Amino acid sequence: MWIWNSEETALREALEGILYAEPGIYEKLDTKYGCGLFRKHLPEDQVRVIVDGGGGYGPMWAGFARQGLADAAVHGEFNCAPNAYVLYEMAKTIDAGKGVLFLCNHFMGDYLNNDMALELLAHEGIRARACYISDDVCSCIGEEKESRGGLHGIAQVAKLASAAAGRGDSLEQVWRLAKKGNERLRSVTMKVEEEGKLLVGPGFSGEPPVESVPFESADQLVSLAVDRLLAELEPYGPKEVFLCVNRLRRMCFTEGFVVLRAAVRRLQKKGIAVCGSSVGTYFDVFDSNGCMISLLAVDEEMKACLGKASGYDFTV
Amino acid sequence: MGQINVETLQEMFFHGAELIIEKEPRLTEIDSVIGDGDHGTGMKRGFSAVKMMLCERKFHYVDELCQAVSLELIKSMGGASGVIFGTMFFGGIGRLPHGDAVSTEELADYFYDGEQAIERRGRSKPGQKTMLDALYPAVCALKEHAGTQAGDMLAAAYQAAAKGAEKSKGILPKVGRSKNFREEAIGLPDPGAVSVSYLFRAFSEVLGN
Repeated sequence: MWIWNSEETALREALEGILYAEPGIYEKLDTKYGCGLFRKHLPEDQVRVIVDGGGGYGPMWAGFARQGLADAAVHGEFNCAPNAYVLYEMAKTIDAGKGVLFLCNHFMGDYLNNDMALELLAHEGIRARACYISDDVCSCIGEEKESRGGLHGIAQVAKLASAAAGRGDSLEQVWRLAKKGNERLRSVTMKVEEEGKLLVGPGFSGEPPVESVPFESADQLVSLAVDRLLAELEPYGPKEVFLCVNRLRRMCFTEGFVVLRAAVRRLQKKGIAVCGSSVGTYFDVFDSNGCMISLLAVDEEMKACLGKASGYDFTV
Repeated sequence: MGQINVETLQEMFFHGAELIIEKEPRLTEIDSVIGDGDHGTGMKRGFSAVKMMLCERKFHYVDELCQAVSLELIKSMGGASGVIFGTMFFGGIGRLPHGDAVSTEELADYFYDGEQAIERRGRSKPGQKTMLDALYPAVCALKEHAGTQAGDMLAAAYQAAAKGAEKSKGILPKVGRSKNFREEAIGLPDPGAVSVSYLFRAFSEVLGN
């Protein structure tokens, strides 16, 4: 059961709730075809970063319009990509003349609408780029990395892009760093079902898991996840990673930190340093226990841009 | 070579919108067997918005008219099909003059580039049971007949689009369909291709065919 007035109005009402909870921080862009939030008092002369995607599941996206993450967020209805027109309007509204970078997860509707927005903006002489995040190692198995879908790893790319934009990098530079982050970013969903089954990599549109084993312990869950991610990152010979644990809707605070601890230890045991880590609820698309784990194989350039960013009720 | 002035072009879009709205039940009927059933209502929503916009505004420049039609589809349809049909009318906008008339050559290039933009953006090709199965032959016919009068050129495009939509009946959908579903899809045209052929039919009717 959902606590809201109606599904049709819930997302708009939630955005208004955010404005009440944090007055003075945001401005709302409201159109008949969708809405979004952007931060007030943005510094002049910087590339703008917009995060976007389907609406309704955690701080991703409305909660991500925060210092150190993104300048604006646009979301569509539940499970629907935002409208290209709204993306275009948001970019036009906040562009400071240095261009706009869109960050979204790589799903068909998101890709199409972001790509369309780029064309509309180009026609008006506004420079814009998009980076499509494809960190989900269990989607599109056998296809190239770029074809995959995205999970919560996008938060790390947003941090990279936002830091680069904040120090005055050009749009091309910000875009390049975002793409480099995406290349070296891997995530996996670990869903634990009531009857004690641990599902590795189920998709949120009903795609079956790639592996299903009896659940034993947090250590077991973490080993399966971390080893799978490290195998994927092998081409980059990672010495150091940033770890991020996303709690699914029924994972509690304590469980989250138990998982984080187990993951740090597993990585250390494998000889990999952890330059930073975070746990929280960023993307709560599954109504079950479990988590998503992401690893970003960092280098010095990325490390310099990977501070912590905080939202209303999370730090990532 | 022929010419179409902006008033006629606006009339073509208006009639196209009317025909799509009228044919919504047929589009829905096809799509509810081979797709998720929302193509007809999405198209009706988009082209109702186009129709209303065209009632309210009188255009003086062909490029502004085409851009407004595209934007209206993107805004009101949303999702993947809003972008795809928006791209059909936006992808070739650079080919249009900022003037009160368009030559048959320019119009052929405009629609051809729009089709190419859909292939690129949608990462698809004709032959995969999509709207491209009607649009690609239509834009090829436009190019081929660009040296003729506008009415003849659009009539040729309509015939090619209708033939293409008919041919899509024999194509198996590319991905993501169950075997049963795939078998049912044989014998039915792609709803997007049918929509494209309705549009060219309407364009051609306005020009007296």
